[in-house]
Amino acid sequence: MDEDQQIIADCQMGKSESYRVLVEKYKTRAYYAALMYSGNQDDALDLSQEAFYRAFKAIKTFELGKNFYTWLYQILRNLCINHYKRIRKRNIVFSDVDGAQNYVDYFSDIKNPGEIFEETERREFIWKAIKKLKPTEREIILLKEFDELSYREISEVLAIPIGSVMSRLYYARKRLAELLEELQ
Amino acid sequence: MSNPLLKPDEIELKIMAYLDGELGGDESIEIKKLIEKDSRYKQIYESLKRVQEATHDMKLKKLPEFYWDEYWQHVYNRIERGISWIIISIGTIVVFGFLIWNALSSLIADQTINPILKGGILLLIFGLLILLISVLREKLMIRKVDKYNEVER
Repeated sequence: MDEDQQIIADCQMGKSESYRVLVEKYKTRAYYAALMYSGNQDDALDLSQEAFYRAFKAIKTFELGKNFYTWLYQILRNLCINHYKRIRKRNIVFSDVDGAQNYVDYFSDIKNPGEIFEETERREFIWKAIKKLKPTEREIILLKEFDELSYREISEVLAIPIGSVMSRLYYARKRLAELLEELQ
Repeated sequence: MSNPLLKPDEIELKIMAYLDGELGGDESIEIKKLIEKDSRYKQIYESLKRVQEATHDMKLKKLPEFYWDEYWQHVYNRIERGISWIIISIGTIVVFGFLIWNALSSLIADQTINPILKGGILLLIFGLLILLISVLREKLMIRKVDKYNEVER
């Protein structure tokens, strides 16, 4: 049994103090994942901390042997989607209803890449290309390139087979390559 | 093409997997040779590599250190508050249960109240209890079987 599994087994038996080790280990990844979805530091901190809290609350339902981080990531992703929907709903109430979209495009509201990325020479240019991708393409690029998840982890997070992860990622990268060329 | 059984698309996917370090030893060597030998595959590899390099150019913004220092404390506070809410809820249920039980006992024992009114009050409380149990059971059942229970409706 690896360290994570041992800690979770301890938490499931009521020794909750060891949960801190898991939080310390995954806080950076969770925070940056939330930052990708929310686009600002305060929300990212709040959402990632809430995900750790909810994971702790549901720790008894965790199946030992599974990957803790992908389980946490699923909780976090759902929280972020709900957060996005709440913002979207609020915006729709106060703005034109025609602006409403019938799919969850949870990265589209991030207007300024400076909220997420350090200042670099090509930042604006690459961000522009990423923003032009379809939401599903953008999500898989972000999961792979920025959250640095493996194919197996992405497959668990998105609940799709590894083959679908590979083809979706491949076509997203191909599209991104075309967009980078177009914009250059 | 070194392996005629692989469809072009499969090879392209394997080239990408090779770039991501997701291939095993033998397969990795096979794809590496294929890229070196075939200019079309080399082009695909280079294009995927350029995209990877471009995205790796985007460095995520660092969070000031003090946020990390306080991070666990915030998670711990949420856990603590969650536990306190559970205790408060149990306490409230116990107190209200006791009050309702006492009120019911006095109602039944009180000889001055009309028996028809007594029956009506008892039926009203019984109906409310069934309604409460039904709602709670429905919520709990949905929570158990709904794989989207983390998603807000």
